[in-house]
Formats: sequence, structure tokens, C-alpha cells
Amino acid sequence: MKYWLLPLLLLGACSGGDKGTTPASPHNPTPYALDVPAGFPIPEIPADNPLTIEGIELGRLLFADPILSVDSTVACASCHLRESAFADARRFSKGVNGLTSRNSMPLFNLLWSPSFFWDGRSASLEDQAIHPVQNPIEMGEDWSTVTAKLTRHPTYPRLFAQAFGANKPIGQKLAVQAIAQFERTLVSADTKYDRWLAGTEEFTPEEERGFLLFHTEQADCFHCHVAPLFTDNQFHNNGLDLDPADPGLARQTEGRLDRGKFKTPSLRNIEYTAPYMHDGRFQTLQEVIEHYNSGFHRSNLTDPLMLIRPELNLDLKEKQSLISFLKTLSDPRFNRP
Amino acid sequence: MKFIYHGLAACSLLLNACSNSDSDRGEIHVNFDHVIAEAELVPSEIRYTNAAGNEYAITRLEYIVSDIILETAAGKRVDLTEVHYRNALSNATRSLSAHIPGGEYSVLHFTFGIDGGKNETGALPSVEHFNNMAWPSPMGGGYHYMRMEGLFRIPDGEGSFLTHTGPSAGADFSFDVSLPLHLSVNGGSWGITVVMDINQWYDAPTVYDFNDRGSIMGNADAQFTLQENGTAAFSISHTGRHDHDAHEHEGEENHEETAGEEQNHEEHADD
Repeated sequence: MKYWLLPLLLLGACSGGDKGTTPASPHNPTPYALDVPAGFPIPEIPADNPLTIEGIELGRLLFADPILSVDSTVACASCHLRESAFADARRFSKGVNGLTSRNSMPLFNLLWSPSFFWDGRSASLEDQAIHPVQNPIEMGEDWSTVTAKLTRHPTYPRLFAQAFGANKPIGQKLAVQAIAQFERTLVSADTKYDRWLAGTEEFTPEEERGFLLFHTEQADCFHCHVAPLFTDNQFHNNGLDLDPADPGLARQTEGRLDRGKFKTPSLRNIEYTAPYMHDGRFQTLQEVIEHYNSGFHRSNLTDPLMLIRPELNLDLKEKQSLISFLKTLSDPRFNRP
Repeated sequence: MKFIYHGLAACSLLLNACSNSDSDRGEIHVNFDHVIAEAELVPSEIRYTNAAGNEYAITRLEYIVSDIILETAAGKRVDLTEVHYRNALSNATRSLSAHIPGGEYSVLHFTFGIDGGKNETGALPSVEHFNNMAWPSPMGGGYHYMRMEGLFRIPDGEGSFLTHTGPSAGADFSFDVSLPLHLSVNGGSWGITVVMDINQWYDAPTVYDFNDRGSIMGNADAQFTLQENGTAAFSISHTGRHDHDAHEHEGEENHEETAGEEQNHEEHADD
């Protein structure tokens, strides 16, 4: 062997070669202690993806990095913006190849959700994160190319090693685990409602009236938007369309009567997450309330909870009270840009 | 009053253990099944008719039973669990299990819903299925006993019914159920299958017509009717050895077995 080749071989060994593995470095991740809000269920964190400071930081960086997209223009954060409680103020979001077909969902309190997407087709955050990268409209990339980009990045190999240990292959599995860890830390429960519940703040008379309308059969919101999450995490057809163009849950179940069923969104931070519904058809809370008050379609697809009465017959003052109560579910500290 | 999950059962087991050897202890599985017109519930399609002539479908049936107790022939009571949530449209919540002392058991007791003295907001652990059963504080607080929902035929299409029972305006509409059985436990694994006859809720002593009932959470008359009718909705379809691997058999007559007896017929499992 020519002796001048030896330094090149050593350099090659030190850089880890071209197999996409992380360089040898100490792995001592720091456990992250999640602060569970009072009254919330005990969260379930996957045993194979515990929360660590390093994993969360890596996930935060990946969430904001357009490196995941084919032309490096779209990140998760492009459609999930912090100032909109990680939703999008646009009706449909702009991907690498056009507009999405559903309104971007806000991201908070995901720890307590058993399924993801409007139609619930993902059962974990790790699985959910795979899809936007591959979606031809959203990011248009494939994960093998993402792996190559992350591997040759000047910083990511070290961050992956710190989060998951040396000699663990950089790739889809670890990337989505990191993103999932970051998303699990997005917890929102610092609201006027929570302080009122704890007895440390008072409602105004209008907010109190709205609370009563919400939590009685007058407006009857509580059956689906149930505390403390303000969602039952189930799927309902709320009468948006007689003949739903978007199959919703039926895409997964192929159940004829599941057409037009979508996941109940949380009403926390609803003040920040316009427009509303799976297709963003309502720009204001007033429009949403009017839909439930008198505007929904009645069919054998419509949820029995809504079919039970023809109209809510709310007057203007009652509608305003409802909106006042809904605004007590806002968490401005979570929503800060 | 907070429910202490399994605490009472644990204390009871310790007390009973003093008078029985460990070898007598058995495992009990109590299953909750549902029938309409003597057939297993099939959700979502309009296929059933009640005493009022309503043709209907069920899209949701979930409920809470509490203070589930087995009583021996000698009158000794063994707590199985304080509270059990059942979603009839999912097998995940079909059964509750407990370890019990050996003995001759003659009655299964439970409360449908939660006794008024215990049914307070926050009394149950904060988990999704209990949270989703919350009865709002402005309407009395606590938890629904049952949410049964569905569609029924009306002249111009489909209407809906919401059979939501619970502590309307703070009143107690829960009720106690006591079902006779014969179960000799001497070690081993045993099963009891409780069956809810859904149409009974709408049948007797008062016929319940969906056309006359809208939202009933604030309707004490409707709550009382359902409480009365509901007391006759439950029976035991099967007691016997619990076979983890065998297929469930529905709708069989109450089948008595005792440990150690030679069986000349096919054993039917409760799992």
C-alpha cells in the first residue's frame, strides 16, 4: 500500500464514511420533565421515544427547517405558525406544488390525542410526521433524500448523536421521533378559563353567561368540546354539507355513514386559529356559531347530537356571550410569536 | 368523594384472605354484552323497533357501572371494582377482571351509573372516557350514567334520539341491579356475562317514544322513566369457566358450572 494513502483512510474513518451513521460522540441525553396541567389526564409517552432536552431541540430545529422539502422552501413551520397556535391563518396552506386541501390544524396538547389529521389516519405523532414530507403538494420530498441531506449537513449529525446516540443511523425514524418529541412539549393550559376553574380569577358576567350556554343544552357545545381538552378526540359530522365532498373519517373506515366526519378540534386558542372547520370555510367565530345556531344541514350523516333540535334559537346577546367565553380559552403566552 | 381505583377491592381481598387459603382464590371476568330483539347489537343501520314503534339505529352506547360486587351464599360481599366504563361499540372495554376468594357465589350486584353521594365532578380519574362522560356542573355536575344515541325514522327522513341518563339537576337517577347466579370458585378462572336488553329501556313499565322526547338531560320525568325501565334491562346469560382462547358465544341460557365436575358438554367461554 502506498504510505500516502494512510492519512486519507484515517480521515475517511473519522468522518464516518458515507453510510449515514452518526460520528462517535458521548450520548447522555437529559430527561425532560413535562409539566402536566392540573386536571389533565396523565399523558402516555412512548417508551421507545422518551422526552429529552436534546431530542426536543433537534425536533424544534427540524420542525422549522425547510431542508425537509424537495426545494428547501417549505418547513413544518411554514404551515404551522406559532402566532396562530401552530395553525395557519390562510384557509389552505402553500406547499411546494400548490395549495393543501384542508385547513392546517393547530398544534398543542397533542400528548392527549390518540389520532392525528382531520381524518385521524395517523395513530402517533411519529407516524404523522412522515406524511407531509412525502406529500407531493406539501413538501414533495422522499425520506432517503432527506436522510442524505441531514447526513451531510454541518450540524445535524452531531445533534442526532446527542439526541439518540452514536452509531444510530440518521434517517426517517429518528427525525420523526425528534419532531414528535418537540410537538409533545407544545402544551397549552394557561388561560383565563383555567384560572377561573382554579378560583384565582373571575369571569365577567358575559363570559359567565357564555360558559352556561356552552355547558347546558342551550348551546350544547360541551358534548363534543369537553373539558379539560375542549375536544372529545372523536369524529363527528356537524352538518357542514348534505353530500360531503371530503370523505373525512370514511377514507379510513370506508363506512358509508362515516362520510363527512372529522376530528373534533380543541376550542382552546380558538381565538388565534381562524379560519375554522376542516376546509377553513368560516373566517369568524360569528360564522361558526351561526352554523350551529341555524345553518347546518340535516341528513342521516349528521350527528344525532345536532339533529335533536331544529335550531338553537340563540339571540345576538347569547351569541356574543358564547364568543366571550370562547376567548377565555386563549393562552397568549403559548401563542407569542 | 374521589374514587380510589381498586383500593376497596384490595382491602376486601385482604380481609377475605384471612379465612381462605390462597389456593382457593380464583380469577373472575365480568363481561357486559348487549342485545336487541335477542340478537347482538349491530350499530349504525336502522334495523330495530322499540315498543313505541320507533324504527331506529344506535350510533353510540357507552355507560358507567359502579360498585360491582359478588356476594356469597353466606352473605359475604367481595368488591370487584369501584367503577367500570363500557363502550358497547368496542370490545376493549367489554370485561373487568379481579381476583376473588374461593367460595359459593350467588349474586352479582352493581349500580348502573354512580350513586348520588359519589357522583361529583372530578370524582373519577381524569382519563378520556370519563372526561367525555362529564355531566356539566351547571346541570348538576358529576358524570353521565349512559349516553345512548342514534337515529330513528320520521316522516321526512331521520330524527335523532339522545338517551342521556345522569344526575339531572343534581337528583340521583342511578339504580342498583342484583342478579342471581350460581358460581363455585375453588381456584381457576371464571366468567360471568351480563347482558343489557336495549329495547327494555324503552319498553316497560312505561313505553318511551322518541317522538315525544328531545334532549332529556334536564327532563326529570324522562330520567325517572328510564330509571324505572332500566332496572329490568339486565340479566346474566352465562357463568362458567373462562377460556381465554375460545370464541365468545352469545345469548346462551344461564349455564351453571362448578369446579372439578366432569363436563360432558362443550364448554363455552366468556372471552
